[in-house]
Amino acid sequence: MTSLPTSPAVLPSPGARPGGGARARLHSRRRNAAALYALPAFAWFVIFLVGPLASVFVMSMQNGTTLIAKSEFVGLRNFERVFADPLFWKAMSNTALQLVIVVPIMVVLGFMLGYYLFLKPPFAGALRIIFFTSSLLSASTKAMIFYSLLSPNGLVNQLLSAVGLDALTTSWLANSATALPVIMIVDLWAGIGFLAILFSAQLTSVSGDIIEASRIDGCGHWRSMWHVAFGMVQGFVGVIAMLQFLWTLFLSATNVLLLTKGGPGTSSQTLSFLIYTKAFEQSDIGYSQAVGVVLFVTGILGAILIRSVLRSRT
Amino acid sequence: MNTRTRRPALVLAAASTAAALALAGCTAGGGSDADSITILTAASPGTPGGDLFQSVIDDFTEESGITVNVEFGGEEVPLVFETSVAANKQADLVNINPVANPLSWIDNGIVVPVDEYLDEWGLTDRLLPAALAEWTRDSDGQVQGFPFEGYQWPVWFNTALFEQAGVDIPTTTDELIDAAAALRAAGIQPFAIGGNDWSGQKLLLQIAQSYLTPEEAKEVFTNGGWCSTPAALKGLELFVELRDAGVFIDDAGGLEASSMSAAFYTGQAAMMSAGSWEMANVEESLAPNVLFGGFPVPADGEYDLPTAYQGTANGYWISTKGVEKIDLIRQFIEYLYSPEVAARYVNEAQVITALETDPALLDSDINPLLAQITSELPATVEYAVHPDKYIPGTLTEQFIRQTALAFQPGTTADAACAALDSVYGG
Amino acid sequence: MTAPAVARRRRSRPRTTPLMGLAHVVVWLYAAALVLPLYFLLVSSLKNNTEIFSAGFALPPEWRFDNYLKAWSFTSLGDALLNSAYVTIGAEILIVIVSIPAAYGIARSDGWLGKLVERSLALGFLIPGFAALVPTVFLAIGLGLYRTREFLVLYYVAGAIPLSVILLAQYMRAIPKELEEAATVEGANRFQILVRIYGPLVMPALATVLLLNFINIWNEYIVALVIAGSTIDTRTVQVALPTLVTNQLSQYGVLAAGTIITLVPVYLCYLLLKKRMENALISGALKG
Repeated sequence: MTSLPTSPAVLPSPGARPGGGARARLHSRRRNAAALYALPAFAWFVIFLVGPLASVFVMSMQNGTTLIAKSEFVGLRNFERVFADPLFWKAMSNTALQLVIVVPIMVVLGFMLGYYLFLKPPFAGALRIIFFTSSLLSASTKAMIFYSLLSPNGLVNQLLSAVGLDALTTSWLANSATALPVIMIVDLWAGIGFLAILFSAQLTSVSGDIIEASRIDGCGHWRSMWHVAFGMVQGFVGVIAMLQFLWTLFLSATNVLLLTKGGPGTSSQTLSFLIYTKAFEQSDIGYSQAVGVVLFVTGILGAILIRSVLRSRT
Repeated sequence: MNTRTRRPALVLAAASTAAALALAGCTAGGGSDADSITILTAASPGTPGGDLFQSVIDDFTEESGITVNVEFGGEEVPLVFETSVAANKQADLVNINPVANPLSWIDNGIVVPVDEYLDEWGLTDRLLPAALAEWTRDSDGQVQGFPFEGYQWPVWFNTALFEQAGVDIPTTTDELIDAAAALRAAGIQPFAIGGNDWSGQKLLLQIAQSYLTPEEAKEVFTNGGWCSTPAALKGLELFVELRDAGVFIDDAGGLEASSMSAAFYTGQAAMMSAGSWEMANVEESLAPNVLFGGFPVPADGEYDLPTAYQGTANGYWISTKGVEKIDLIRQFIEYLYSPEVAARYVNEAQVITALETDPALLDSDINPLLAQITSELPATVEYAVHPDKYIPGTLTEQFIRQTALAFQPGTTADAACAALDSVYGG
Repeated sequence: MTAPAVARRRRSRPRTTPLMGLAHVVVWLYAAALVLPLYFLLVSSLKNNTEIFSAGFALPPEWRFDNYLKAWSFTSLGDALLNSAYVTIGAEILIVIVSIPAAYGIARSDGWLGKLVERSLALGFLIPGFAALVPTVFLAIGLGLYRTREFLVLYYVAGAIPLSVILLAQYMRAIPKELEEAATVEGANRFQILVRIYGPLVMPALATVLLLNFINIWNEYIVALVIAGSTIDTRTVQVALPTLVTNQLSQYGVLAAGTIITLVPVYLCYLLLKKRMENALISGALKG
């Protein structure tokens, strides 16, 4: 099995270049020659991804309104407006809640389920197919499924009524108490199974025999899972946790847009949806991009934090 | 060695650039010949209005020799137009409603006022005064475009269901509450509404202005002050009272306009609040039972008769690029607004136009619903202030999320007014 | 792989501890939570609203295939599928053209330049392109490609480059240098080496990359919505699908049918290439 692509690039590769002298320079040029093949791809990447990302910082300091209006430099005024706006803080606290709940649940349950799959329980093949199938669903497909399930006379309310829990039926997507939880559940629903597949593959490739041996030695499943198996793939879990953090942070706008549009009221506003709605609904691009900077910085800091926490425990 | 290794890389770079450019080339179409104009519209083919539009254009081309290129912008015409301006590829004419973003187009210099054309082309006297007023800017009196389609936005009553429940059509809010109870007793849902989208927003604002004069309503819509204006708060209290009395369909807060019409069309609910554009969707079996009226009013309110909305839906805006072809545009507008073509819209697409229609040109077997809504409805209702012209366009989506909150059971009038005011805050 | 050995050894040990029993129950409850909505989707696609709302789980009393026809015609799904295919295939072709040389360059360069490029790409993999949605719109406008499928193609290629290049480069590193040196002695230049020697050898990794990008690009929603928009000429299936909610008077059967139609290409792909697809998903750690 292949591992995540992030690890090799971050590790220093052996054979550091000898320095100094004309010969060495020539040598260095030759060694770099092959890398020129990467330039078209790299240029493409810079133009379409890095460039726009850098522009976020520029636009956060301009007073842009619509896509057509001219904009001028206004310094940090957008940030002042953002930090003074209750809507921003609502979005911030929703996003924090979402991260604190979704990421740990997803990673912990995903790991436990992955360990279960790794043990090759009965019907493991069927389970894998089920988990994979749900990983193939696009965001709009998942949204349509949940839209039908959660509509006022949808399946969820039908089931609740059928078992006599009429009191619990509600308009799930339009109730300010349930809108944000629903967004989180849609993420978790297919996400746990997908992470489980990743973890079980990793466990199989890294540590099959060792864990097996610990089982023979009489460790219980619980001990074996957390003390042996987790230790073996801890680095991988860390990378996944970091990625899951970034995905949840950046991509929540899609589910929110498709299911609740941030409402009712402001109950399901998130930071990434705020960027979308300020730019495309409310013609306030300066504000939107200031939030973009906040989001980006949060992402970087969070990723570094998760990485260092999981490293220090090794 | 170096040059030899570098060349393939350059070739690749060139090849990928060329591929990119070739792909880009595919879209560089869009004719700008001297004998053609381009129109951006939301009327997509497959809808009654869209099909008629296409047929009108074909006839126009045949008659005048002028080619008309149609671009379909779907629900995002304003955004499509603004970005095409940024790319300097804008259409000559834009067909869109005078709400939200388009209201800033004259200020942004991307469309031109049409005052002088209205007179020169002889349209001023033929357009309905109300329509013309709606398209005239309050700030400087300039007319933003040519109003074309109009609409009525009444309450729809299913008379068969009212008979079944044994109650009369309500005209006051007290009667409405009693009627709702009777309908519910007969197993019928009273008032269908999409509390989670624009349909709920319009209805809430219709009820909320019950105690406001039109001038006060405009002021509150424009600048907020829902909590600090006693009459506005009283209107919201009325809304809460109706909601808690079970006037609206179950789970109204979770529904959208499409569920609303579905509930009404399937006979599940006895009332709904919908625009005349919905008439094309009414099945023949239901049509005889549909009665148009206004939303019941409180006995001590500002309005004596039940209220409805009216306005113009879409019209035509001339882009600054279109001015260069003003003669071709004149020919098109004169053709489209001719009595014969306007009558086709009424006859074939059940569209209310912003023009005085010559009764002689209308089909004798005119759709009975259309006849009812154009000739009978206006005498039985008063028209409430339509919020779209006054609530700042950039706040609309946020506003709708807040009105959705008010449809949730348990939201008090105080909470609702605070939620609405919060939109105007930042 | 040691799986067979492991399996054999396990069979001999006591199977069910209480904890394991609980695990079976919980896992299958979760599996049911994943399957039931899909089952509901499938049966709903053959029912009308009354049937869906009265008995959501029951099999359709009569099979209403016209839901599929309605979904197809109401959203012009045919056009949308063509647009999605155009965007996905166009992007895949360009990805192959730029990623293979790039991966080769990185795999065979041991200088600072290769390392710099690889590390930058690895960082790019972390940040979803969505973070810069608004400037991306301006880029599209600037290139005169706003509201076109072509910009989506160019954009998706850029989004796919980090992962594709890094995966391919990892794979190419494992190819012995001796093969290349032998060819150099025979007078082949780097380009010929790339095409003749690396081309065939990287096929398995390339297939993984293509599959992964296929799923990612086919399923992408928000950039497609903002850049290509929801007009019929340019919208992808993912953008067309949600329009069923508003323009279909909430006919959930039609909605379900439309959803299933958009699932077919990806699911077919999965059934045909099950094993490879699973490896692709795992190696790419893909998310929808």
